[in-house]
This record gives sequence, structure tokens and C-alpha cells, in this order.
Amino acid sequence: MSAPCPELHELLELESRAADDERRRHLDDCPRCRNRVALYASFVEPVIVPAGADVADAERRLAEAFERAWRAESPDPVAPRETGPARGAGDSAARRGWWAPSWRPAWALAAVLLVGSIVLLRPWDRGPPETGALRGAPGGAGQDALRLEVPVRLDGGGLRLSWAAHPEADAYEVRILGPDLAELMRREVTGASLELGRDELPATPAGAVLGWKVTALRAGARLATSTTGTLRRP
Amino acid sequence: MRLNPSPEGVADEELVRLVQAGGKGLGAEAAADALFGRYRRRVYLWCFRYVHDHERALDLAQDVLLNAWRGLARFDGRVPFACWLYAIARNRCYSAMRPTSLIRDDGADPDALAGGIDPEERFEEAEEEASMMGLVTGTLDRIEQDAIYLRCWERLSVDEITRQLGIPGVSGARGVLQTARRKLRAAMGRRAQESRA
Repeated sequence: MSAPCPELHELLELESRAADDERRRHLDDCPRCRNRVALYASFVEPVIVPAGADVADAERRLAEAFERAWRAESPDPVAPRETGPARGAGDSAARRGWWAPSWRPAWALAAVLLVGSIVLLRPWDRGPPETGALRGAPGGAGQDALRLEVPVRLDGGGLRLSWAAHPEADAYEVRILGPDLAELMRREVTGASLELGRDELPATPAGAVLGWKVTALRAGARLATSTTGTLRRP
Repeated sequence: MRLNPSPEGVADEELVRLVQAGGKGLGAEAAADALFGRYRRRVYLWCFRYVHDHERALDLAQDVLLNAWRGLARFDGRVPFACWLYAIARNRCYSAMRPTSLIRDDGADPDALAGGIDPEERFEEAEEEASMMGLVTGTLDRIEQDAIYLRCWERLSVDEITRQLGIPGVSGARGVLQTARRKLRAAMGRRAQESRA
């Protein structure tokens, strides 16, 4: 531990080195580093779903949270949104202003009103607070997000897209998104897969990154939507 | 170890570039959805292992994913995206957890509950705990080192350490941690005697 431990991404590269490599030996000998790598592995490829975890509900509600946040904020990723003013000298000066002696009676009155409101309204009698305002409520089995399978390349240059069937769906809308992930084509099918021949795929260069998304329908109404999967055009 | 867990062969970094280049609009949203959709399950399960509660894990996972999305402009590609997101998830879970002392652990040691440990033996400051790593590696066998590290530095629960390390037996990591702490206390006692002499 006397030598500084490498960064995590450096540790991951050390794994492929020969066993007698000095830095590789550090990975083996240092409990901090070998456990950092093991924990990262368990993050990337979680094998065990602990009792009490509800992955389907989590995926659906986190997807909803993301969609709502996107609608609400639509940040320009190149110029990130300021999440709040930086705390600095000016900020503390402003705080001192609000805490000046002339404001203290007003603060005292506000505190009395606040305590009175809490006693009268008794929020602790109202059940658990809503902790995930952006997320949807826990849902039943029919509301789980559709899970996409890995696309399979077919002989002849086509692709088979498939997904987990929705128990209440009578049709699925499949959208193919272009290299910039704008919609290029749309198909509706009744089963939980779609085969597209080479000529049916959008006219994009071979190797282009395409996106795809599936929506489960019943009598034309949306039941559930997948996240956006990605594929590479054959 | 896969540096870039991209099941469909499209690297995370390609999607990051699409999000960063796309600004507002369907393309950027779809790319972000694809990118973070890959990690929702992973981030949620990572958070769950710390809090063992579905709703709390969802709160943490939502924080992690939205903060990562909002901070994507700062991602410069020097490390794999998965490492970057993992660091955010890890730090968020750390901040949600109370630190656990290296020497005393009320959640794992029955004798700690009885108050039988001299308070002077507590090592509550993180910097002091970091200096203990030499003692850990010099005193404990490998499985004990790992268990102590995961408990005191990574703040995992005893059950989670049992799973992470695959420790068999009824007591699992609890027994390993108790043994490790006994050894550490003895080693610290020897060290103190040597310094007095």
C-alpha cells in the first residue's frame, strides 16, 4: 500500500498483464485494489438479484423518471444546466443580509408559523412520503418495460429483432432509428419478433449504428415501451 | 473483465458522442435512453446492495442516473463510461451510508454491543483508518483482508460481503470479521507495547 494505487480503469487493464508483472502483482497483493476490481465486476455484471429487489419495477420507474426529466429539462449536453448558484463570498454576503438583526423578528414569526403548521397538519399521519417524484408508482406485471433481446444477424445480411412478449399486447410497433437516432422506419407486427431482410433495412451504410424501440399495443393503445436498443447494420 | 459492457456491439462511448453532439431532440434523447437503459438494472442493483430497500434503492439509482445524464457534458472519454458511471454510483451510495469503524462494528460484533471495547481503540477518522491498511495486510489472511476492506472502506453490509466473497457457513462474513478484528486488536496492542518500549 505504500505505492499509490492505480485508478480503476488502469487496474482493469492490469488484469491482462503477465502474473509476474510488478503492477499486476500490486493488483493481487493490495486488498484495496483487488476488491475495487471485484466490486466493479459485480457492478457491470450483477449475477445475484438479492431478495427484496424488484428489477422490473425499478427499470420501468427509472425509465419513466428519465423520460420526465428529459421533458422537463432537455439540457443541452454541450452546455450543462447550472443546478444552483456556486457558494462563494457573494452568496454568504447575501445570507448575512437575510440574517441581519432587522430580519430576525420576521424569522421568529415564520418559525412559530412553521411549527404550528407542522403540529396542525401532522405529516407523519399521512403514510410514507413520496420519495421519487419523477418516477411512476409501483405497477403490476402488465406495466413492466419491454425487454429487448440482442439482435441476431441472419444469413443474407438481414436481422432478427425480438423482445419479451407483453401478456396483454395484441400488436407491437417497432421503430428503427437512424445513425442520429431519428426515426427511419416503423413496422407493426403481432408476434414478439421481426425479421428484416437486407433490402428492408433502412438505406444506411454498413456498420452504421442504428437504434430500435418497441411499443406494445392493445387495440391501438400503448401498453409499454422498451428502452432504445442499439444495433449495427450488417 | 469487459471494460465496455455493450451487448449489442455499439460502444457506450459512441452513444455518449451521439448525446453530446445531438443537443436537444429525438436523436439525443434516444441515444441517452439507449445509453442509460443499459445501466438502469446495474445501478439499481448496486444501490440495493447498500440500502436493502426497494424504494431507497430507487431514490439512489434515480439520483445517480440523472446526475450522470446532467453531467454527461463533462464526460471526456478518458475513462470508460462504465467506470465513470460506477464512480458516481459508488460515491452516491457512500454518502448515503454511515461510515463503519475499522475496529468496532456494532452491526457485526456481539461484544461491541456490550460496550466492552475501550473507546480509545476506536478509529473513527477516515485518515486514521487509511493508515491501518498496512496493519491489515501484515496481520490478516487474504479473505480477512477482503472482508475488512469491504466492510470498513466500501461500507457493505455483512450479508453483502458474504455474497460478494462467497463465504460459506452459517455465520458467513460475520465470523470472518470477528476473527479479523481480534487479530487487529492484538496486533495493535503489540504495536503499542513496542512503541512504549
